[in-house]
Parts: sequence; structure tokens; C-alpha cells
Amino acid sequence: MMKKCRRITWLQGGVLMVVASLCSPVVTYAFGAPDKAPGFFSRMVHQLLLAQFHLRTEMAGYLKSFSATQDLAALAPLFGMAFLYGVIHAAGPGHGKAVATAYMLHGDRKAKDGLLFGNIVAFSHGLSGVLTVLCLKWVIQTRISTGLKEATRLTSQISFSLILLLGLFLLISGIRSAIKPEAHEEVSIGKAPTLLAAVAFGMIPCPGVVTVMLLAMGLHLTHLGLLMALGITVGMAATTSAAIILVVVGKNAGIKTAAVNTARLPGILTSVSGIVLTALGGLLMAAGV
Amino acid sequence: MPKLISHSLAVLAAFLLFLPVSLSAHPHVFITSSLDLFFESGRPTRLGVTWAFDDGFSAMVFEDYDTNKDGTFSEQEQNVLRGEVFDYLSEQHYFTFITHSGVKNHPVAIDSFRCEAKEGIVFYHFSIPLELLPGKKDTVRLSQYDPTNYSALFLSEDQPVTFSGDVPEGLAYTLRENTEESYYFGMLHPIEAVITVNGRETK
Repeated sequence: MMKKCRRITWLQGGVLMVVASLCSPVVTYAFGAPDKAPGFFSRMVHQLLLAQFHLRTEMAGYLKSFSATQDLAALAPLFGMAFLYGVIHAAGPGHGKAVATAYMLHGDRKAKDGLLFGNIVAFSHGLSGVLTVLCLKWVIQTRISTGLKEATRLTSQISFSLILLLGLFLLISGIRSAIKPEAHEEVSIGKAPTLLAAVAFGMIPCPGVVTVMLLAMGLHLTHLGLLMALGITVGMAATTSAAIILVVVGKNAGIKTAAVNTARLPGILTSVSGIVLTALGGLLMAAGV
Repeated sequence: MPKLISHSLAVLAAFLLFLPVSLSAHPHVFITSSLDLFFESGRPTRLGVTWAFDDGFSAMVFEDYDTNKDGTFSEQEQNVLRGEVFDYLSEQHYFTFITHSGVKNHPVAIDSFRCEAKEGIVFYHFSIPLELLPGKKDTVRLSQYDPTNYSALFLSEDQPVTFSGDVPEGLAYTLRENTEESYYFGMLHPIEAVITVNGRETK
């Protein structure tokens, strides 16, 4: 019975990984751009686009209404809308989810680790956007558009380089651990470096936060801009953390149900983490994303 | 934990790792677009485009280019804006994709540009000269999108496409999703305005 359960798990996982990887644009583009996109995804993507557009327009409307009337009632839905916008916005790429989930594959992780990690990635991303706007406008006093482009380029280079280096470290350590598990301790990067990694993964300034801040600052409502930035960041944190927690819990469940307590498994997982991080870091640097 | 749940969670974890990088698009700029096709002697010769930007991006443009903070853009301010944040779009065909009877004819130049401000919203008005194949009754397909999806373009709900000048009789358009083309990792299809005479399409 135990062997049958293990076979089913590996079979299920194997089939789904093959199917999911075939659906993955990263893999798909390795074989050339598709001629047709799945209709369901296209429709869903379009609806989420519209939702983001409408939320942004509504938030702007409430801000302008408050600016004109000073009626506090106009602000009531603002934080909630900003939160919702952040939740939807973070479902898109560029918010460190793929990198963060790959990183959390290695080491002994719990759901609370995923929650903390996801929150730090998101807050790093949001705070970076806020600090970029304030710095460009009040300190450097240069054009926001060109300054944001430069800030994004610089932080991207730093972030992607760190991801690549971390990935290589985990890959090499994981292979060594998998080959000779008795000679090498399980690779697990400590808490402080892990939190620093989370900051690095999210450090690229979020343009969504930047534009919301600028809108509020243009109406002389900087404090409300900060409130909206916080709402968006908390929303992004919810989405990012949820994705990371799912992977951590799923990974732990998979290890438990493996039935055979192989000493090589931590090394294998660390190697997978390293492969994905190295690949992502390399692809992002190459694409200049 | 019941084995079925733990198995499913393990499978889900593996699935999430290999999911498409995005389940949704990720634009930071939202543009509402209107198109006007101008005709001379029954042939389309110019495409007029109007882009209305979202409040957030408009705020950035005001911050950067309304240097005297009067809420409008002078000729000098427009020239600077055009040089710094618009002209480079020629590399991406100004997000405009034109197919004439099956032949792609995407623009690489414009012949006029104007930036306008109205109630806190920034508008770009620009004109694309068309060098289309001869033939008054050929099908013209127009779409606007950013292949990188940093900007999301939507056709205006109110009169997305208009015709002006010497318009051929029976000219009409329909909007449809072109499922034969895709962009942004294959997750989006462009929305096209298909312009035909008397409903007859030539491909």
C-alpha cells in the first residue's frame, strides 16, 4: 500500500510537472513562440487587466474627490481598493514569486517561514517604490520617468546577480550533499541571510506604487499616497506569501509521503532550488527584465 | 494528514514551480485608444491615433514635463516630452500593427505629434502616414498593443474607430480577437479592428 501511494504521488507529480512545464512560457519559448494562446488564459488575463485598470481609475477618483471636497467619506474604500489592487497586481511577474518559491525549496521550512519570507519580498518591493519616488522628487530632484528607469536598471542588476550567485551556491552545495549525504550537512542558509535574500529578491521598485504615490503627491496628498502604497504592498504580500506557503507546505507534505526516508532528498531539493534560481537569475539578466 | 491531501499538496507545490511566470498580465500604464482612418480618393492614407493615459501615468508626465506647473504642455514642453518618452516607440511601431490584405505594414514613423492635458489626464495625438497596397476594397486590420505588456492598451468603448475624408461607400469595421497571433508569453491575443468594404474580407 505504501509503495502504491508513493508510485501514485511520483506519477501524479511527474505528469503534472511535465504538463505544467509544457504550459510554462519559459519552456514553451525554448521551442519558439506559440501561434495560439489558450483561450481560457487569454480571457482570464484580459479580465484581470481590466480589473486592475478599473481599480486604478476608482482609486484616482476617490483621491480627486477628497482633494476637491475634503470629505473623509471619499476615503473610506481607498485602503481596501489599494489592497485588492495589490493582490491582483502581484499575480503578475516581477514580484519575486518564482524566485522566492524556488529559494524556499531548500532547507527545513515551515509555513510561517514562507509567510515571513513572502511579506519581506513584498514590503521590499513596495518600500523600494516609495523610497525611489521620494528620493527622486525631493532629494535628487530629477525626472521620475528617467530616474525610475535608472533605479530599476541598477536594482535589477544587483538583484538578479544575487539570485544567480545564490542559485549557483545552492546547486553546488546541493549536488555535494546529494552525492555524499553522510559527509555533508543539509544545506540551509541561516535566518538573517535568508531575510536579506528576501529583501534582495524584492528590491526592484514597484512602478504600480510609484504611479500611485505620484498621483497623490500631485494632489498634495502625500500621506494618502503612503497609505495607498501600504495597502498595495499588503495586498502584494498576501499573494506572494500565499504562493510561497503553498509550495513550502506541499514540499513538506511530499517529503513526508515519500515513505522512504532517503538521506539524499534534502540535497536533491537544494539542487533543484539551485537550478531554478540559477536559471531564473540568468534568464532575467539576459532579458534585461 | 490524510494521504490524499498531502499527495495533492506535494503535486500542487511542483505545479506551482513550473506554472507560467504569470497568471495575469502585468501592465503599469493603461491607455485608452481611439483610431481615425483618413481616406483620400477612397484609399486610406493616414491613421490618426489618440491615447488617453490613466491617472497615475498622467501624474508622472505632469511631474516630469509640465515644468511651469500650469496644467498644460507648451510647445517646448511637448518637444522635450516627445524626444524623451515618445520617439523611442518607433522601435515598437508605436504599439500599432497594421495588416493590409494579409500583408503586414507596421509603421516606423509618424508625421505629427501633440500632447494635451484635460482634467488631469494626459492625451497623445499622433498621425501615422500609411503606404498601403493599391486597392480600394482590400481588408485593413488594425490593432494596438505593447508586446511587453508594460502598457495595456484598450480601444475606447465610445467610437473606437472612425472614418474621415473621402470614405468609400459601404465601409465598416468589426472588432475581434486575433487568435492567430499572441504576445506576452503567448498569454494575450490582440484585439483588431477589421475594416472592410461591404463586409467582404480579403486576406
